[in-house]
Amino acid sequence: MSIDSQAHRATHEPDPGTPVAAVVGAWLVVATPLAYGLWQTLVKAAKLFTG
Amino acid sequence: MSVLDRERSVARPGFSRWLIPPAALAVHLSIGQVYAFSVFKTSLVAHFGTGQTPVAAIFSIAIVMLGLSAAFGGTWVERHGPRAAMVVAALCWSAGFLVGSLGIATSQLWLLYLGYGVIGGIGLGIGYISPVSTLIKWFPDRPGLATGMAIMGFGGGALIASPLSNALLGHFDAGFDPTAKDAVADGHALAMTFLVLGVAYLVLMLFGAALVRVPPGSGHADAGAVHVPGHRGAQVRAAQAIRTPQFWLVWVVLFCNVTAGIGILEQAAPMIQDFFRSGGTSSVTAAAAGGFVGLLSLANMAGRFVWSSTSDWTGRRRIYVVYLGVGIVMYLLLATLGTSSTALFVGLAAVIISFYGGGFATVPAYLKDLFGTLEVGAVHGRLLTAWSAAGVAGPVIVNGILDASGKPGTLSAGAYRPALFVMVGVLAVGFVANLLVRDVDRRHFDESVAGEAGTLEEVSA
Repeated sequence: MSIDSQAHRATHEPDPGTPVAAVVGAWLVVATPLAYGLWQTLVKAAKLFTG
Repeated sequence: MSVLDRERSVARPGFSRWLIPPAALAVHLSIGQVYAFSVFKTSLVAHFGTGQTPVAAIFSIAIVMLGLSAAFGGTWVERHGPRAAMVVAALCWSAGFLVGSLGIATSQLWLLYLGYGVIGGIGLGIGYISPVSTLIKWFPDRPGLATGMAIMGFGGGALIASPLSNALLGHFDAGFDPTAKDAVADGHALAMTFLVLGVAYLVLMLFGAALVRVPPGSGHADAGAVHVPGHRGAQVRAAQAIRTPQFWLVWVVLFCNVTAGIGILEQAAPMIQDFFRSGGTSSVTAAAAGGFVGLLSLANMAGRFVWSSTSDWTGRRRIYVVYLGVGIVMYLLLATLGTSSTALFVGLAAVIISFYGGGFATVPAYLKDLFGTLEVGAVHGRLLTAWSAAGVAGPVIVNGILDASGKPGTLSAGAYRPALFVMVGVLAVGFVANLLVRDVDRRHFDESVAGEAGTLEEVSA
C-alpha cells in the first residue's frame, strides 16, 4: 500500500469494509467515561464563579 | 501468544482508520489516572500513619518509571507493534493497582512503591508510547490531529479518575465525604477502590489492544514497508536520532515547556488563594480554588487536541514559537498584573496550561517531521526523559522559592513572582532551542529506507 492510497482513504471514511456501527460503538466506549469526567469537572469548575 | 505478533495485527483491506483513535484513547484514558493520584493522598497518609513525603514518593516513582520505561522500551514497542505493547501496558498498569491494593490491605507501604510506582510506572511508559507511532502511520496527512486525539486522553484520564475514585471510596466507606476538607477514607475502602480500578483499567486497555491495527506494509522487518518520511525524506533510527543536535534541542524544548507548566499545575489551588490574599484572608474560597483546578484540567486537555491539530496547518516549529513565546508574555502578565482581577488570573493560567498540554501532544508530530516514522515511537520514548526531568525540576524550583518566602497559607502574590520570573527564563531557553532546530543532516538517515516512500505535502516550519 502506498502513502498516497493511505491518505486517499481519508476522503472515503469510514471504509466500506468496516461497519459504521463498529466505529460508532468503539467511540462510544471511550467517549462515555470521558463525557462523565468532563461533566463532573465542569460542575467542579463552576464553583470558581459561584463559590 | 501469537495473537500478539505484529503480523497478526496488520489491518485487512477496508479497515477504517477511525478505529485507531478510540483504541489509543482506551489506553491513554486509563493511564491518565496517574494525574488524579492526589485523590488518595490524605487517606493514604492517615492509613499508613506517615507523612506527606513518603506517600508523594509513590507518584514520583511512577513518573520516573514512566520516563525510563518509555526510553528503554521504545525500540521494543516499535519492533513488536502496538497490540503487544498495549497488552503489556495493561497487565503492568493493572498489576500495579492490584499489588498496591495488597499493600494497603496489609499495611505494607513498600508494596505501593513496588506496585503502583515501579510495575504501574512501567505500564505508564509503555502505554503512553504504544499508540503514537501507529497513529502517525494511519494519519500521515494529519499527524498532529492524530496524536492530539490520543494524548488528549492522558489529560482526560484524570477527569474521569478523580470523581470515579471519590465515588468508589464513598461506596466502600459510608463515612467518607469527598466534599469535606481533609476527608479520609479507611484502609478497606482504599484497598477495594484500587482493586476495582485495576480490573476496570485492565478491561478498557485490553479493549484498545484488541481494536488496534497497524497499516499494511508497516511491519518493522518488512522489506516492503512503507514509512512516512520526515523533511527532506528523513528516515532516522532511534539509536541514531539521539546522536543528532535536533533530538537534544527538542528535548530542551519539551523540558522547558513542561517545567514551566508544572510550576503552575502543582501549586494551582494554593496559588490562586495566595494571589488574592489580603490581611491574612483570601477572597478565593477553597471550593473556588478547587474549581480553578478543574478549569485548568479542561484547559490542559483542550490544549492537547486544539493546539496539536493546529500544528498540522502552522507547522511544528511555529506552534512551539507560540507555546514558548506567548507563554513568556503570559507568565510576565501573570507576575505583574495577575492580582488585578480573578478573571484575568484564571484566563492567563488557562492559556499557559493549554500550551503545556499542547507541547506534549505536538511533540510526536515534531519528531515525525524531523526523523520520519521509521522508529518515531522509540525516538518519542527516549524524548520522554525530558518529562521525568521536568517533573523533578519544576516542583523543586517553585517549592524551593516558596519555602524561602514563608509558610503555606500565609503567602501572597509577591512570594510567587520570583518563581514566575524564573519560569520566564526557562521558557526563553526553550524558545531559543526551538529556533535552532533545523532539518536533520542526511548522514543520519537510514539509507536503506530513506527516500523510498513518497513524500507528503507538508507545511515546513
